[in-house]
Amino acid sequence: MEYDYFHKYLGLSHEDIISMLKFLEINNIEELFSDIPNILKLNKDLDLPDEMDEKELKRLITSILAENITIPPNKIFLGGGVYPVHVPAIVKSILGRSEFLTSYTPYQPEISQGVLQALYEYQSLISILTGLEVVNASMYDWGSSAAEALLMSIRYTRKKKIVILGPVSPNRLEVIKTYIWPHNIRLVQLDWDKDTGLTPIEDMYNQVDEDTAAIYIEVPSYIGSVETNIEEIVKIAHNKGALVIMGVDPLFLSLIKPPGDFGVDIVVGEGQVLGNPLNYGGPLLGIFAVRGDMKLIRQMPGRVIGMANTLDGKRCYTMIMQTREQHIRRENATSNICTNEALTAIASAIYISLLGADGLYSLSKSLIERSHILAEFLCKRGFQAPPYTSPYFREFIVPLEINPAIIIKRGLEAGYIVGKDITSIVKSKYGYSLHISINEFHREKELKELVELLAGGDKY
Amino acid sequence: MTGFHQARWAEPLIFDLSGSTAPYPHENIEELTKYLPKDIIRESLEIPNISEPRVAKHFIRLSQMNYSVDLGMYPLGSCTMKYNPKIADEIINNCNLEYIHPDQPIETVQGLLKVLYDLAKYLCEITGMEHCSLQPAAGAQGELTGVLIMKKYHITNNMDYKDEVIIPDSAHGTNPASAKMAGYKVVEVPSNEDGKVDISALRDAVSERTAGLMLTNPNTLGIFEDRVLEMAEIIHEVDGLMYYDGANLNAITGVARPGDMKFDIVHVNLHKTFGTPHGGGGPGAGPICVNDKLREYLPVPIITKKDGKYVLDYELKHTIGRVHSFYGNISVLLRAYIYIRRMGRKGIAWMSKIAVLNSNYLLKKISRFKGVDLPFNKDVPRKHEFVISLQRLKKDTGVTALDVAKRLLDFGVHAPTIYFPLIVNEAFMIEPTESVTKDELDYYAECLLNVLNESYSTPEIVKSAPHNLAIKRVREAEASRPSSMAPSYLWFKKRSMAKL
Ligand SMILES: Cc1ncc(COP(=O)(O)O)c(C=O)c1O
Repeated sequence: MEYDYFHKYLGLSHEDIISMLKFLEINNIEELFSDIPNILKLNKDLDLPDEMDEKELKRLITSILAENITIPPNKIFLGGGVYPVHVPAIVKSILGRSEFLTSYTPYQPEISQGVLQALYEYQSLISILTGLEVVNASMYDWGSSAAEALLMSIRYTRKKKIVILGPVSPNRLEVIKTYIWPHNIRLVQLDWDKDTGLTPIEDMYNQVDEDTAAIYIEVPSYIGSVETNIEEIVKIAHNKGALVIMGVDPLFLSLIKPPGDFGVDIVVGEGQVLGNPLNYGGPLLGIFAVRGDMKLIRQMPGRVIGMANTLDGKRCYTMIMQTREQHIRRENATSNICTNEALTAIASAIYISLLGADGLYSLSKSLIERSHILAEFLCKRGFQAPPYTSPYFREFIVPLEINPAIIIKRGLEAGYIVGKDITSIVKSKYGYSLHISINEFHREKELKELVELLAGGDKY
Repeated sequence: MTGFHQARWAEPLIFDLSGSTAPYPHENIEELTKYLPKDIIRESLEIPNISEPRVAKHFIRLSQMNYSVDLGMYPLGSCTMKYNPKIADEIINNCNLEYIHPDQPIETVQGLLKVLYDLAKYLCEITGMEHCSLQPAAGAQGELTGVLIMKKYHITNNMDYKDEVIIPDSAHGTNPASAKMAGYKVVEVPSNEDGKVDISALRDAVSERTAGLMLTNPNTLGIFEDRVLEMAEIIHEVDGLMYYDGANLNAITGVARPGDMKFDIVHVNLHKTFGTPHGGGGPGAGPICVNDKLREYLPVPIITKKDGKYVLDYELKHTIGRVHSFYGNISVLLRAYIYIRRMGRKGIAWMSKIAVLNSNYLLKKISRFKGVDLPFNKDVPRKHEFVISLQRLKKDTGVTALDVAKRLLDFGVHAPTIYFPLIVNEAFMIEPTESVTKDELDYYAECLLNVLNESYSTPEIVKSAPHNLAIKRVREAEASRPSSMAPSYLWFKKRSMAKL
């Protein structure tokens, strides 16, 4: 065995290895693997490529990724929970600090106050946005947050039925179904009205009953429609002893009253939009906020950071209520989650702190404004945008006369991603349909070009 | 020993920084009534407006009060706190990932899909499995995915009576928690005096109801389960499946493979074995690899190649469904790909050898110290990590593993994982990884020796530690008590107001 192999990421030199073997009174490193039966040993090289240096590696990745077709964010009209976001330089710069990047879960609070305080601030900022007092330090994404919220409602109420209102993102719905599948839960999805884009509240009366653990509603919904009568929904659910779980776009919360004020019990949502890059859909940031009721909180999943005091009476931060978690409670834990999305939560804390109330408000206002401008443009060209009457925030659907695939292709040729074909979901109501989302990069120019692409005007 | 001192900023919460808190919204609410009914429009949002330089200082100061892998040894057992290559940071920040939307047409992301496809292939090779899903966002989500596959497999094959998963008592808490989330009853098997699964107890625990066994190998004591083939036989005999928790893969890459140990399902923690940063608790990634008979059960979509083009394949006959809103933690996956390419075939094998050498070297130094015991078989080498007991120290001096951990921090090193696994009293679980130097190992041993000596001579210094950090020891219990806890600023304010 030769020990002259050297890789820059390994901490030992040839001499180190020799002297350490000597200290261990063994002849070679293989002896440390002598307890692994020979039959289990690989005894050959793994079929992996050769080592590359940084230059080669950069060249390689650049050349592979050159096969992507890069589309700038102002020409992308996709959304549905995750959106192109301008990540402020300061967010990137602070996240690059290896003190945040290369640390782990703050098991030793005394040496990890930085991560703890930043996560506490994330929790507190989300708590103000949602109006709910307890927020965990992150879930994987909106999908798993929603799924875990529903499982939590089952534990809390000891009932087994869930009612879903209005149009919900198909991907999230799939995650929900995957998570609840083993638990014999009855999932009732109420249809929505094509003219309002919402589930009629009357329909809730029939379906929300004594067996219902929770209702789940997304505001805005997947097609952009906004339910404005949260108060009544909460009343109906609470009358039957069911919890109300609301899925949100956190930016929208800067325009509407906090769900907590309406009596909503749990808010889940996607925090990517709060200062995190899209990265083809991950990492994301599952928001999870709960009403400040001890009985409810004891059932919540995930890490929670709390304020604390030191022995000498100074304010500090630490992980709290860990007796809910898997490392202590094992199979009786409220969830299996361990590693979460802490760094994206910290990014969001920095982002919200930078924007402040004013910045959040003007960003959200500009999104709602621009989406209405786009709708107006489209209506002028004869589209029904959107084909329902409820308010909408930053996205809506547009019924089309031709297959959206044709328009998407046409758009791509012009360097645009015009939206998402959601015909399969809404066919019975609106026929061919395109889902269109506004982001902060869109200017009037792109809105107009989008309209032309949809209308198939002269230029196209 | 050292003059280490952590930065100590009295940095207030962001809410207490001076910034304007102008009424909200500034403009006339009427502006919004064009779009939203008046009664739902927000009237206040109590988030301060702070200047960018002050926000920068705030978070940079916080960062200075946080220990990390780049600062020194961080030997948290079971967590594999190895070096996170800077080249991955650089590439990730410059490769135009920022605006790629997951619903983009497949032809616009061919390069990215190629990387993911190849990563899946590498992971299969390293684990000795055949198919891979990159979707799970962390190890625990990989576990859940794996046990759901187990369940679906048995139901599909008319074995829906299988409702128990067997897990050793040394297992990580996520294992039983995941099994429970998949609706299983957890059957715990004890470890024997060698710190390995007690095979006869396993035989007793197994029945027709057994859906599978969840095992990490080497186990959480850092001891290799050399009778794993026998266990696989016992489990497969009753049509159960073998699940491999890949948290400890850093011990054996290039040396042995879970597939060759007859595991059917394997998850890999990319944030451990493949050098992606832990980010203060995440994000990570927990891809799962399976053998051929389980391919059709993987979450959809999986990335496949068709006519020279990468596609997302949703057509898996028995899929358990999605576990992630999209395709997983892409930038973490890309980092792991970069790591594997940078290390190469040889580097990937050497990292485990060096990790194991470092671990045994440190163990030999430490196990001689007064107050320290090495539980279980002293003659088998440990793998990438080892667990000692400070029970004797506690008996001699009253100083606990917690106290020792806190005092270690004073010397500019991180504490090990403590009180885990649960089967060792006053457990101290140390995983140095391959990234540290011999000097760092020697220094760590020296620090520990120093703390142990202090425990015998001046125990109060250890019991009141830490002394050199941003803060003194935290009063943990009080922070979780309903009457005194404050899980958010909103809660804190409401409570303070109620008191006034
Ligand atoms: C042995 C073991 N199994 C499973 C896990 C769970 O992995 P993750 O934290 O990525 O969810 C961990 C790590 O925390 C672990 O140490």
